[in-house]
Amino acid sequence: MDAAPKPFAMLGDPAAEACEGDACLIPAHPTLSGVSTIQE
Amino acid sequence: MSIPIDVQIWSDVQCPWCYIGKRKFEAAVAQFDGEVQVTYRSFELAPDTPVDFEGTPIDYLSQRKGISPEQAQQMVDRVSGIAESVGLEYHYDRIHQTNTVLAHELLHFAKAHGKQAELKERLLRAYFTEGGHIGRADELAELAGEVGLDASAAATALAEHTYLPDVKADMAQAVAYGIQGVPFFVIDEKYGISGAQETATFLAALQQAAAERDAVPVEAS
Repeated sequence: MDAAPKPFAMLGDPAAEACEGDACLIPAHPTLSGVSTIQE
Repeated sequence: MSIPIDVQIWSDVQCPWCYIGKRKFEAAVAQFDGEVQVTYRSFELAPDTPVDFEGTPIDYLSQRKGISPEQAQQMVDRVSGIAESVGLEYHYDRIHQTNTVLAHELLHFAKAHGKQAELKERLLRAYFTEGGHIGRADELAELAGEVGLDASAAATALAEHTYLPDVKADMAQAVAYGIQGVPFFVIDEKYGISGAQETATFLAALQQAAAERDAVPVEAS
């Protein structure tokens, strides 16, 4: 494992859908397609 | 021969956007004029979920989010529709909500034996399409065998938690990177992409990473 975070630049639409724990299926943006996130 | 573009993907096996993002990313790789080396990294979205959750995914969503079954169904219908748009079949009526730590351990076992990509796809299909139980060691070992891994060796690795430290290391790296959601793509350790972005976004990132490599002057020996 790397000892320190790598400074990378973020690309793409920041509102793209992903999963974050229980927020997995909630659309962050109604017109976009999806992120899943970590559980609190 | 050029060195492949390195892509590290943090994701979870029961993350619907991860499977959708995987398809969109694969479409970009198919259009990309170059080699890409993908490594899947572990990210547990809900590590407190029991292996045998009692109830349906709709029950799970309703309980965990405090919403009505109707609202949960709407969410599931929406993501299933998007999945269909990229050629995936999500069958939430068959899904077994479970804990994914063993699946992640198995993905590291597969990586060690050169079959991680095959197993990742197999696990996602088992979970979202076939109603497989990816929280149970016996079913996981069977799936490992289906992609050409030694099922017996896989079962032993799961029983002994041989690869649990690797799962934890991936999670720690995700925290170090500030990753809170998945899928999360890190390209050549230079660019981060969060979420199920469009194929064009992934393709542009791969092309940018490749162009920057080409721009680096080669030192004379």
